[in-house]
Amino acid sequence: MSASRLLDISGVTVAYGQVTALQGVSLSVDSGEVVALVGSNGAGKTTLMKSIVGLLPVSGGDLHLKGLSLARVSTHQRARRGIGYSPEGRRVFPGLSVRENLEVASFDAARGTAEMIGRVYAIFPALQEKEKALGWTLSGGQQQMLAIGRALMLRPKLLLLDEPSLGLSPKLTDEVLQHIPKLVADGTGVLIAEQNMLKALEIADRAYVLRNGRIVQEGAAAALKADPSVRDAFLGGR
Amino acid sequence: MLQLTLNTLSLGSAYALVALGLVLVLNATNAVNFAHGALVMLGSYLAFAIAMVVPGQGIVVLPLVLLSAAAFGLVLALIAYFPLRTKPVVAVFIATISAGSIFENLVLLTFGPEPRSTPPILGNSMLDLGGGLAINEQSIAVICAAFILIAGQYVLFAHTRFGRRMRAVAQDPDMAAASGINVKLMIAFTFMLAAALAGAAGMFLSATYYTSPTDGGNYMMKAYLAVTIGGWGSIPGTVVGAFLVALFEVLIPAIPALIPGLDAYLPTTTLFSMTSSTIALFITFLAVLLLRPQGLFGEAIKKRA
Repeated sequence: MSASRLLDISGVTVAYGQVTALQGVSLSVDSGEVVALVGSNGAGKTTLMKSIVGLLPVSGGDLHLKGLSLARVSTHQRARRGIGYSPEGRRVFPGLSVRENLEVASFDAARGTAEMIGRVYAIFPALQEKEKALGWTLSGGQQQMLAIGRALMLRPKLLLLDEPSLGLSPKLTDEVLQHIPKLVADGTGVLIAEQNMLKALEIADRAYVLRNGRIVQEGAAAALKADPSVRDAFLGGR
Repeated sequence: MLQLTLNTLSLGSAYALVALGLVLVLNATNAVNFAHGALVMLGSYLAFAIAMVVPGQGIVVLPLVLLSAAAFGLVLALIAYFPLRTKPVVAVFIATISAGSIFENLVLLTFGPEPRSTPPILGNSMLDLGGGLAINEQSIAVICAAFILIAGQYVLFAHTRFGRRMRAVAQDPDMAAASGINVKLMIAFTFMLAAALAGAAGMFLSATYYTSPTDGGNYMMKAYLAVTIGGWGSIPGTVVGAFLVALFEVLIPAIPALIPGLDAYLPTTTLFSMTSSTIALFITFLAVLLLRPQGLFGEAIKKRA
C-alpha cells in the first residue's frame, strides 16, 4: 500500500434485506487526488458513500482509512478521523443559521473554528452574506455550498461529495465544482459521485464506473472520457 | 387580582418547565416520553427526601433535586430509549409508559401513598406590598426560579456550541453524526436536562399542591396539552401552551370572585369549579386541534425539512 493511500475499500458488499445494493466493490483514493464515481441512478453511488461514512452497515469486505480499519468505528468517530461528507440532497440543519451549521461541525477551540469558518467563507463568499439566515431559507445552490462547507469544517483528509450538482443550474454547478481542485491542493482526497459524468470526469484524476452495484470499469478520467463504451452507456442517453 | 395573576404565572411557569422537558425529548428523539409525568412526581419525592437530610430552604435543596432528577433521566434513557432506538417509535412509547409505571411504584413502595409536600424555595409567607396588597412569597420565587431555568435552557440552546449540537441532533441525527457529533451523548444529555426541568417543576408544584405517587399521569396530560396547543415541537409555543393550561385552572374557578353578584344569575359553584375548568380546557384543546391542527406556533421548519 502506498504511503499516500487514503481510503482503501476492498470487496465491500451492502445488502438491504434481500436486495444487494453493492457487490464486492473495491476502490481507493489517494491524498491530493480527485476520484469520480460515475453511474446512473440506482447504480449504488449513494449506498457506497453512506457505507464509507458509516451510516449503512456493510455485510462484507473491508474499509481502511490511512491504513486503519473502519470496521468498529462509529459514524461520528469516522468524521473526527477525517471523513467529511456532503450528502445527496444537501441536508443542511434546517433550523440552524449558516454560521451555526458550520460551527457545530468543528471540534477546534473557538479560535480554530473562527479561522475555519473564515476559510469556508473565502471559498464560498455567498455564505458569508447569508451568515445569519436559517438553513431552510437558503436556495439550493447556497445549501450545496453550506453542505460542502460543513464537511470542510472537520478539516477532512477525505472529502465525500454526493451529487453536488443535483438540482443546480449548469452555471451554479460550474461554480460549485470549480472549487474542488482548490480543496485538494493541501492533500485532501476527494471522492465525488456525480450523474453529470462529463463534468465529473473533467475535474477528476481517476474514475470508477458503477453499474448495478458493481465496479465495471476504472481508470484515468481522461481515458474513460474517451472510451466509446463508457460514452455510449452514460453520455449518449443524456 | 394581583395574587390571581401571580398564581397563574407561577403555575404556568411550573407547567412550562414540565412541558419544555417533554418537547426537548420529543424533538431529539421523535418519541413522546410517557414517563415524563412520573419524572415530575419523582422530583417532588426527591425534594421531599433530600429536604429530610439537608435542612434549609428549598433554594438549597433545588440544585440537588436537579442533579438527582437528571440521574433518573439518564436511567430512563438507558432502559427505555437506547435499547429500542432502531425499533419503531411505538416501542419507545410502550417502554416509557412502563418506565413511568416502575418509577411510580418504586415511589409508592418507598414513601407510601400519602401525598407529600416539599419545602418552599424561600418561604411561604405573604409579602406585604403596602396599600392592602400582599403577595405570596412562594409564587414569586417559583416564577423567578422557573424563569432562570427556562432562560438557562434558552442560552444553552441558542448560544453555546453544545446546545447547537443538541439542536443539530434533533434536526438530522444522521448528518449530525456525519459531522462528528456524538449523537448518543447528546440524546442522553437531552433526557437528563428534560428530567432536571421536570424534577424542578415537581418540587415547585408540591410545595403548594402536595404530590402523591399517582400524580404523574396528570402532569403528563398537562404537558401533552401544552405541547400540542403550542405546536408540536415548538419551544416558545410550548411555553405559551403551558401558561394557557394554567390560566384555565386558575382563572375559571376564580370567576365568581372576580365578578361579584354573578351567582345571582348562574349556578356558579357548578359552572366555575376545578372540574368544570378541566372540561373547558379540553374543549378548548379540541377546538385548537380542529381549527389549527399545527398548534398556535406550528413550525414551518418541520415541514420544510
